[in-house]
Amino acid sequence: MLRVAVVGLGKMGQRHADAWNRLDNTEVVALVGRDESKLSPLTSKWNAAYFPDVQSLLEKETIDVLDICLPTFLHYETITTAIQLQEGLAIVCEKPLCLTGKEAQEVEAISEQKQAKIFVGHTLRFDQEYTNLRNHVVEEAVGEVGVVRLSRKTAFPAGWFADQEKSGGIIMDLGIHDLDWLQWTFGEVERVMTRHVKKFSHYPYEYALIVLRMKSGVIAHLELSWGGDGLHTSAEIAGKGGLLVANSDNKQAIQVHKPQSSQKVGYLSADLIGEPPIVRQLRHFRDCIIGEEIPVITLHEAVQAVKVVEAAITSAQTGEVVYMRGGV
Amino acid sequence: MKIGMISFAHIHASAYAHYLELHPEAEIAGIWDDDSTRGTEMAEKYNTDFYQDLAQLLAADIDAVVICSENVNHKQHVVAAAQAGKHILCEKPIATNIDDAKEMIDTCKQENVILQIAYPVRFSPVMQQVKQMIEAKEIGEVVAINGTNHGQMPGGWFIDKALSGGGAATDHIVHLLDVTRWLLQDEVKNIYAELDTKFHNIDVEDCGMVSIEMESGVIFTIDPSWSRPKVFPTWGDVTMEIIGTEGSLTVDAFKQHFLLYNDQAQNVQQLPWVDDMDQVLIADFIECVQMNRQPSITGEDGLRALEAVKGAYQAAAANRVVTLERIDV
Repeated sequence: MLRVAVVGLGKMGQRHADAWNRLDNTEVVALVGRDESKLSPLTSKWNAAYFPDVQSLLEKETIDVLDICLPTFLHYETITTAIQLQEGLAIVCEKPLCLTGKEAQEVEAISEQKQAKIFVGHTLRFDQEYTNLRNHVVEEAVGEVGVVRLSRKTAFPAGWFADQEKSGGIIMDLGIHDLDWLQWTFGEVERVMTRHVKKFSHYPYEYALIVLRMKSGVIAHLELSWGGDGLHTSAEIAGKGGLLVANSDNKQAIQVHKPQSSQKVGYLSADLIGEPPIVRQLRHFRDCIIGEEIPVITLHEAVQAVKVVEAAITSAQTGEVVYMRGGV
Repeated sequence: MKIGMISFAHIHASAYAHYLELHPEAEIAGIWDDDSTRGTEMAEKYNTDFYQDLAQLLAADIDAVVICSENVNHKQHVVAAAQAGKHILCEKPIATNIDDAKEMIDTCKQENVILQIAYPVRFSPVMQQVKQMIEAKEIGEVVAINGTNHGQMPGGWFIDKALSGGGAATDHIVHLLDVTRWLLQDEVKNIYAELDTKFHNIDVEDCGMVSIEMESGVIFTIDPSWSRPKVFPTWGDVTMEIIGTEGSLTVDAFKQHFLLYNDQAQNVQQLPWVDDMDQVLIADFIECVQMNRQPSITGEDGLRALEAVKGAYQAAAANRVVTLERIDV
């Protein structure tokens, strides 16, 4: 049985603890966080011990795995502290590993020294859509790849995520998903050119457009947005032999629809673009009245429409097939 | 109004001829083409005269010309038409180099004729609506645009640099650039680009990615790649993700279409069911000539887009951001 301690019990930490407990041969034995009162419902739910910090955890509890779900700016310090305290410790860490390349390299060096095993949670590598997308590319479903387009949009994040100093901002926190997937699929990046805007006004947003050239020659474009209406992702891989397209707006196997008042949107078709049918209709009627056009709907056809509706209603009432009598 | 057509080299010529024919106040009064077989065929199709000699067409009783020659020939044809006193609708891009564009604009000004560049995307009902929404501040202030103008590889003279001036970058940067200048009333400040030939065995670039900062600070990328495969259900796309301070618009100019799963042709096709932007462009040009008003899309509009294209080539060659210098007109 692997004994797991989770440090940082925000949304992500709770999700991790839940997932560990669903697995065989693992058990969450300890939770680590500053605020004991906030954690007490969780320690009793999972029957885990509470520790205020990693130091007291490693001094008093025997664990195999430390799962770090803290804000990004605390990763470096937490990892290095834990490795120093327990040689050979296994560490699972939420992405990004660290806020800077320098810190990340230091973690790599220390982990080799102390034989710590560190696993970073780049979830796209376990996402069915993105792993299969990669597999198809690697198996040359589109032949030699020329241009890749990726997009990832979420609502503006709450809490520490919005703080550049703590999360690294949109390019680090959101962009790392696709940038890791790109390197996993197409190898290393040669150069990168980013345009970035952000504003914390009435509606805060942060947005970036990144153009990359991979060492393999592949050209890539990544759109990142904080400030939309929920998660939207898309990917498009264009190659010599075809085009592979994925779009999150097109993947819901189940969509839920709830009734709405007909007074609200959705009753009449929204004539957002161009001339509405009602205008075309009345222009036509006007031109018929002044004798310039022949009606596209005759009075007789309107009569027949009422008759067929009447038959349909009769059928609904009787439960029988209704035949139209007389010429339709 | 009598209109002459100068060359059917560009595929859009057929659409323009079709809508000229449908227009109640226009008449195709003659066709010149350096390819006399094509010219004769088109003259028959549109029930008009074929002229072997361009000077003769320009000397005929016509009010305006529609020029759809190869990009490199736009200059000589625009200059000749202007000197003959004809108003001009010229296919995009305006020219293959800045000096030619400048000369075309100057000549038309001197001769007091209208020079309109054919950027039909502005006339798309979708883009007209987008313009209204942006002006009504429905998404606040625009801060970023992520655009695509993909296409299939067109082949023919489009991939002969001597005639086209360049590949996908020349062909497909200008539409979104023009639409964005028009939507935002803004100009390009600086530009970066990655360009390459990765899809076809051709001598011009067939793909790339362009990254722009506008004078206002709006950030803007364009994917001009000829990256649509042969089995793609249509010629390409024009899409824009427009990000504002109070929301965003996801725009697909050709979204309103049917899908035809066609066993007879063994393919899948997109069939548009809304007004064709080319028809609106033609109607606008005719109205412009009739009212003798400023064209909706001027020679300067053509020049500004061309300057950005040239900047993109420069940036791609040097792998650095290029600050645009706009010449006066």
